[in-house]
Amino acid sequence: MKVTDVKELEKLANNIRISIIQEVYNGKSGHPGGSLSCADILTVLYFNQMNIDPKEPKSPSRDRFVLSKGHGSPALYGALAERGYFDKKELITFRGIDSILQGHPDMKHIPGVDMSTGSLGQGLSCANGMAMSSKLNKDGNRVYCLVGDGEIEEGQIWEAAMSASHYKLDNLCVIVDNNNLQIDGTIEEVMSSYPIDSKFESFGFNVINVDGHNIQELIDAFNKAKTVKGKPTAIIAKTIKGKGVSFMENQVGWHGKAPNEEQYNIAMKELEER
Amino acid sequence: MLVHLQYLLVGRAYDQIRNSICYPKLNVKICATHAGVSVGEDGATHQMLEDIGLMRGLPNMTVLSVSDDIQTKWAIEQISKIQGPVYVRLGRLKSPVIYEENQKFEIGKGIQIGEGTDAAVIATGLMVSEAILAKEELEKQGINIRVIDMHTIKPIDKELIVKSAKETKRIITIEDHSIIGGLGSAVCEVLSDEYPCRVTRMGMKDIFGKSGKAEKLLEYFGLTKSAIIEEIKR
Repeated sequence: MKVTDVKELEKLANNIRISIIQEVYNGKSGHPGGSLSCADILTVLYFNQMNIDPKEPKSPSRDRFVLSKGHGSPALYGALAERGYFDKKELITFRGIDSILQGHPDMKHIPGVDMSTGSLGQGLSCANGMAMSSKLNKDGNRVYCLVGDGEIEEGQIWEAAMSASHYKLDNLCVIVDNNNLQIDGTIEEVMSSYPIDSKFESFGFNVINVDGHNIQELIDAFNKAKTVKGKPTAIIAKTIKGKGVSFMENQVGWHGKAPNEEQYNIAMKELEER
Repeated sequence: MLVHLQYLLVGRAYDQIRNSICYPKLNVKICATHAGVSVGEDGATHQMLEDIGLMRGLPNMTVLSVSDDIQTKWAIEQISKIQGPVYVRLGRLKSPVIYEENQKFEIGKGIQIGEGTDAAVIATGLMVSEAILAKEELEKQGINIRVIDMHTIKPIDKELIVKSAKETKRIITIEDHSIIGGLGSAVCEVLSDEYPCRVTRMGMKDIFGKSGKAEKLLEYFGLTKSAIIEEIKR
């Protein structure tokens, strides 16, 4: 199932945003800002790019996705449910004691989750391993890894970047969700990771800058990445934290907070009218 | 002074703490939050259950695990007065105040609450208030226990542990931490050396936590006053 129509993909992205708000509201906990900022990226990956089959979530030949910024789990769960990995009814159990939908992705229990994450900075190293294994086995699959712009302040990310380029992992594509905010403020205030593009470039990556909310630009970037041989690709996606919900956009306070009933209703109305 | 989440500060930086703080015996104080399953909804990745084990195994390290607001203020002030590496384990959940403002504490000396001889519950951190609640409820039923608030895990109060074992013959430890390597292990080490007796270790039984409301998780994993009462009556 490959969706190529941009309008349809935009609709799917909006559905995922609705799911994000429902999850965080019902769980009364979670991270809406950084989930909303990566909804378009996940939509393009899960509906246009990745070679996957929800009926066979463990198929060895599938493309892999690692949500290194594991607190973006509401977006990942929204995308997986939208794609049919599990029933959308599960979403409202998010972070509940009996739920499979743990606060951070748990590959032991959630169909479609390729790696357990949550402790920031580790996902790219895991994605490297998957990409190396794929090359060894000549599986021909691709590995995608989404990292946060705050997350890349972690040193391990750059050790992994060095190693990805050293091993010429051209089947690996890193996406940076560059929403410019982290839990304590703007990236510049806390610990600037800028310039992100030239950092990855000097670590040996093919780098593409895109508007992370422009579906067509994302599709083009992922397609371009597939044609580059001998080096991994980093897509630097300029995004807006809280994208799609007016009062959450660019507000650091919505990093890890659930909306109350009134805010939930406003958010849902805005998204449903889009 | 370093302040951060435990899984990052103690987990990720373990080697740095070992080789660049404890070995050179530098005057560094590490205060880390997010102890145990009482972290709640963030789930297993953020709930640190092994930090006491990691930190108390390091030579030169002093390990504190505080139980309320008053004790936390004392601990932070006290550690600034001593030389060398110190680790302070802090929770995230709002917790009851146990002590009066004028309560005296001393590093390496546990606090004995009550004189009961039916059992001794040695607790640390958030579990101290649960143990006190259990003690009060058991009293009404004619069962008299004592509670030990073991706020210093290292150096541990050997004297008080041995005295409690001799006087009660029934030791229970409880912690929002793995039963491997934590308070329970530390108490067993002392007793196996000095006064072998049966010890029940309550805590996380070699498993990871999960997401959920903190109170529900504590109940789910048996870290409550009712679980203590049940254990004592067993």
